[in-house]
Amino acid sequence: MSAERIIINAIKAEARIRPDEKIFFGPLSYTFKEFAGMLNDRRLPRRERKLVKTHLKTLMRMFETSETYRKQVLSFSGD
Amino acid sequence: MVCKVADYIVFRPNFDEATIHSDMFSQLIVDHLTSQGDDFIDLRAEDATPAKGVQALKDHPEAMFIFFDHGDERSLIAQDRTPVIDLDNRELLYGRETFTLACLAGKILLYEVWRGGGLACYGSVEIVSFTTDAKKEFGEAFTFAWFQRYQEKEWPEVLVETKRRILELRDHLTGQGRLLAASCMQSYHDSLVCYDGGSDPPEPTTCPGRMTVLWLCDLLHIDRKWAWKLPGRSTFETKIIVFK
Repeated sequence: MSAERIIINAIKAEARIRPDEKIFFGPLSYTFKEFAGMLNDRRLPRRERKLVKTHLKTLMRMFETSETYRKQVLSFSGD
Repeated sequence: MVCKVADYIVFRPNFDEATIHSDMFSQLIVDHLTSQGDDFIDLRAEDATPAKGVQALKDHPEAMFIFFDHGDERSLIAQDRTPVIDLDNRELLYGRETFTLACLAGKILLYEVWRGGGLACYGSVEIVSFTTDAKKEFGEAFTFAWFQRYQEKEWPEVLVETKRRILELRDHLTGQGRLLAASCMQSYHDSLVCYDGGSDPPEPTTCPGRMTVLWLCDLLHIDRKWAWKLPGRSTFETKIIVFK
């Protein structure tokens, strides 16, 4: 399974625990549940697509560079 | 009537859900100033208008300008969603320190303020993100630098210490399984700049037209704002992302 898929699964798992908490990007906000759903939605509008792409890059970099973060992500994703 | 000199101007619009939270974050600073008996002006919500902001800046030319919340590459946004500070009136921030929690302002506006005569400019070069399951941690992260500066630490040290503390908060959130919060904390760390605090200038523009105009402005001693007013890809992308 790719790192991106593992990360997306982990974020979805976190969203199941805290579905109604929100993530803000400037003035835009999404519940964790909404945001998790956006992560592999290929039909997103341009604005959301850019947000997701940028944030996934950060998640990927943390996964690759932080052992603590990677362990938590693997734990959440069930891997 | 002679108006009492203020050491700080706090400018904090409150008109949407995001600014409800940033209002809470900025309250940490306001509470501290109040408890310490400092002289400050608090332009909050309906008082956070461009007119009042500009007047306060003119009346108190050396006060630190503390701005929360919405911004873009070229401006800081007031209560009525129009700029209180932009490239046209950025000289209002010359000769003083500027502390911001605002998306993107570090990319162009704060850099041009610092170039023109701002003493120090602290802010972000990207969109600021945060999560509601870690409000305490984000409140600390977003105001930590200000508290460090309040203790009269020099800006280079402030920036180093702030980034260090943000990474500690990131690790704390990671340890608690708050993955999204930790990632937003990482984003904030990565986007922080302080001009005259050791930050490198922002990435130069790759737009040939803009590069040419910037070069001409510098050569002919013309205000560089004309180069930044040229429409470009980044202008449109910012407008799409920052406001619905």
